[in-house]
Formats: sequence, structure tokens, C-alpha cells
Amino acid sequence: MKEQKTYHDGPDAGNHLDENGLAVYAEYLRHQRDDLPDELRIHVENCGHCRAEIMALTDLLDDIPESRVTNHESRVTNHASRILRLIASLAAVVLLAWIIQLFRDKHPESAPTIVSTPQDTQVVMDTTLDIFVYAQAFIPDPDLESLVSATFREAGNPLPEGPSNDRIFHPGDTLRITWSPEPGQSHSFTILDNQGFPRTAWEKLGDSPFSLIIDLTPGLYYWKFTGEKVLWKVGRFTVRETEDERLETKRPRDQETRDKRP
Amino acid sequence: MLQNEHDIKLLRENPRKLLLEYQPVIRVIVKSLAYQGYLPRRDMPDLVQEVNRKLVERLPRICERYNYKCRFRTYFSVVIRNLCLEEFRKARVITEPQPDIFEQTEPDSITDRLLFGEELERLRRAIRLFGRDEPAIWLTLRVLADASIRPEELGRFEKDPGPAVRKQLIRILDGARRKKRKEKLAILSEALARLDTRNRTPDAIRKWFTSRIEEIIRLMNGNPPRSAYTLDTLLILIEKTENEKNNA
Repeated sequence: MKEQKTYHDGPDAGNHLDENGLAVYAEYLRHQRDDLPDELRIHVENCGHCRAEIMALTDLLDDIPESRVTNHESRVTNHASRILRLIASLAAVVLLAWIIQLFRDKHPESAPTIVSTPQDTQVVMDTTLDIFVYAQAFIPDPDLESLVSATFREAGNPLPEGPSNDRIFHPGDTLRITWSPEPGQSHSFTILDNQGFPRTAWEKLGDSPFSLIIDLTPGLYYWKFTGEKVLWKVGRFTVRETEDERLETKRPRDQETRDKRP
Repeated sequence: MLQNEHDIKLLRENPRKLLLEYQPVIRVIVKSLAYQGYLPRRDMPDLVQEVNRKLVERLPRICERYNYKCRFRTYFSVVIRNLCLEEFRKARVITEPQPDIFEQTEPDSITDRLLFGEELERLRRAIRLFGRDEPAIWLTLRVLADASIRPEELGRFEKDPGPAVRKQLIRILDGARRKKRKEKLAILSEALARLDTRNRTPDAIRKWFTSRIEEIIRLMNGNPPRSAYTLDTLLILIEKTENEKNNA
């Protein structure tokens, strides 16, 4: 079938859809928009390459978790709710100003000046970002979770035993793995973070047991015990910072905040 | 603030912070492509680093090319995917995914149902990509799967024959149930001739459907392959979801 080259938007245009075009079509297929420009529809109808690209892209987008600022971004911009929010915000500011004024009139000498400084706002924003980044490290990985609850084949299984799946470690604690060694078999042990990325790995383990000192940042982790080509067991554990570390990281920020205040 | 407004604000004012916030998305994309078999999984951290380096380098160009017609998150995901594919091509590493060997304890019917739902949605998307041909492909697949045909499905064609003819066509198509595939296609061609603006012979319809279905199977399976669909398994998928709907 003859390929129509009608969509021209961006440097890649002329042959196939560029990133913007692919993104618009993917949003249309994922019901994130109702409208689809005609030139896009016609191009894709006649272009097998772009059809394959869009399909692969929508599959990939399904794997990406929804954004965090809002989970339900409306398809059509809701102007009315925006205006309402703006009015509500203005009303809140006016009310706050009136209360402060009232308070100052009643206590003219002792009234403290409550002023929100840009530094305060920055500190709040930084803290929110810190909490977000911190929380991200504890989100379970669905693939690895399914392996944690899976039953592995019994034949030749060295039956590795590790910490329980709800075990909480602190830096400096010892993690211990035991198994039944079989002659001629070599085993590996890997620690993965909550996104499935290997953090540390040990090849050709010696005799059981194997111990290691936890030196990981707080988060959810998984461990894998494998043979040469076989996965024998997957477990999960959590690392939390000690109370001392928590205070250590908190103290300078608090101190900094106090220093910044007038 | 909505996510898109937040992203665009960062794109203009603090692109590096935006990149920092997009780290989980970058990692998910790299991981997803690695699991599809584009690269060995052990290379994932290196690739994340390389993609980040390139994104920092190309941020001004990325900002310039974004046309604000879609969400920034979608656009940026396409950019990240393209960068990854660029890296894969450079390395010429195309390997089969190495599946971890494990056995599930027992079949989970809820998981199965969710999986069927997700796959049916993928099939819908694949068919939607064919634009004008979408209603005819759906109708053909549903007839081949012995699924019931609803009048509204016949109303989506370019040439709407009106309620009386629609009713008549549904009766004809219902007659195709339990028949052989060749006979079904012959009945379908008769129906499509009355619904379609293009005048096609049964043979032309069979050729058209064969080429379309081959591509739909390729789209569903992906490249590198993530599934192993055939026409029969696609029909089972339609049949299963149809049964689920009827039972519900």
C-alpha cells in the first residue's frame, strides 16, 4: 500500500511521526485524550512502521506508574474547578489577613509578626522532595514480589534459608544465609533494590553459611540465591536508618532552618 | 498543581530538577526494555547512566522540540525510549530474555481475569491503529470467534445501512456460528459488501483480512517478542472475555 506522507511536525516528519506525534497517538489509545488530529490518523492508517512504534510505546507507557502530583489528571481541563480553587485560595488569604489584623489590634505590643519567608517555603519543598525520594525506595517491585511468593522446584534445591520477608535491618546488622551445599554446585547471592537493579552480588559462594554486614541506604530490598542457571530462592527485607542516623540527618536541616529565619 | 503544569514549569525553570524527578521513569523504561530482551539485565545500571548523560546533553533540544500538544510525561517517555533504542542499536546487543525458573503455586483466577482484560485492551488498541478498517476487523474477529454481534457494531461503518438492514445482517452473521472458517469468511464478505464503501469480492476480503491479522499478531507479540499470539489464541481471548462478560 502506498504510504501517505502528510504529517509534518518536527524534524523527523516527512517519513514517520516524530516524538510529539507518537505521544499524541499513544495518549489517544490510552484514553487520555478524546480527539486525534486527522493528519495523524491518516498517516498511521497507512504506515505500518508507525503502527508498530505506537503499539510498542503504549505497552511501555502501561509499565510506567502514574504521575505523583495527581493520579487523575482530567482529560478535559476543568476551568470551573480551577476558578473555584482560585477563589477559595483568595478567600483563605483574605481571612488569614483579617485574623492577623484582629490579633494585632487586640495585642498591639506583644503581637508577633507572622511572616512566611521564601526560605521557609524552600525548606518545605525540599522536605517534601526528600520524603518523596525516601518513600520511592520502599515501593515493592511486582515482578520480584511474585518471585518472593513463588514455590521453586525441589529437585536439586539447596533449600537456602535467609531472613524472614518482613525483617527490618539497620546499617551494621548482619544478614545470614544458610543452605545445604551439594558437591560440584556453585551458588551466587545478589541483593537488588526495589526497582530490581542489582546493588551487590557475590559469585561462587564458599561454604554455608554466608554472612554480610548491611551497608545499604534505607529502602526495600530483595535477595536472590541462584545456582549456575537456576534461581533457587528470592527473599525480601527492609533497611531502615537507626534512630541516631535519623537525628543526625534531621539536625543540620533544622539548624539551617533556624539560621535562615530573621 | 497538575502534573503537566508542574513538569512544564520545571522544564522552563529548572530542567535538571525535572530530570531528577524523572529518574524512576527512566529506570522503569530501561528495565522494561531490558526485560523485553533488548539488552542483558546486568547492563541496566550502565544504560541508565548513559541515558542520563545524553538527556543532560540534549535537554535544550528536547525542550525546543516539545510542541505542548501532548502531556510532557508522554513526550519525555518517547524521548527516553528512543535514546535507549539508540544505545541498543549502537551496542548491537539483541539477546533473548533469560527467564528466571520458578513455578507458581496455583492458578489465580483473579489474576487471569485481569490479564485477559489487559490483553483485550491491547488488542483493541492494535485494531484502533487501523483507523477506517477498525469496525471491519472487529466484526471479522468477532464472527470468527463465534461472539454475538451487536447492532451498534454495525453502525460504526462508513456506510450505515440503517436499522432494518442492520437487523437483517445480524441474522445473517449469526448464521455463521459454528461454521468452518472459510464459510464464515464467505458470509462476512456478503455482510461487508453492504457495510463498506469499497466493493470487494470474498477473495479480496480474505486477502485483506489475512494481511491485517498478520500485522495485528505482530503488534500484539511485539519486537522482540513478548507473547506468542496466533489467530487461534486471539480468538480464544475474545471468546474468554465474551464469556466473562456474559457470566457477569
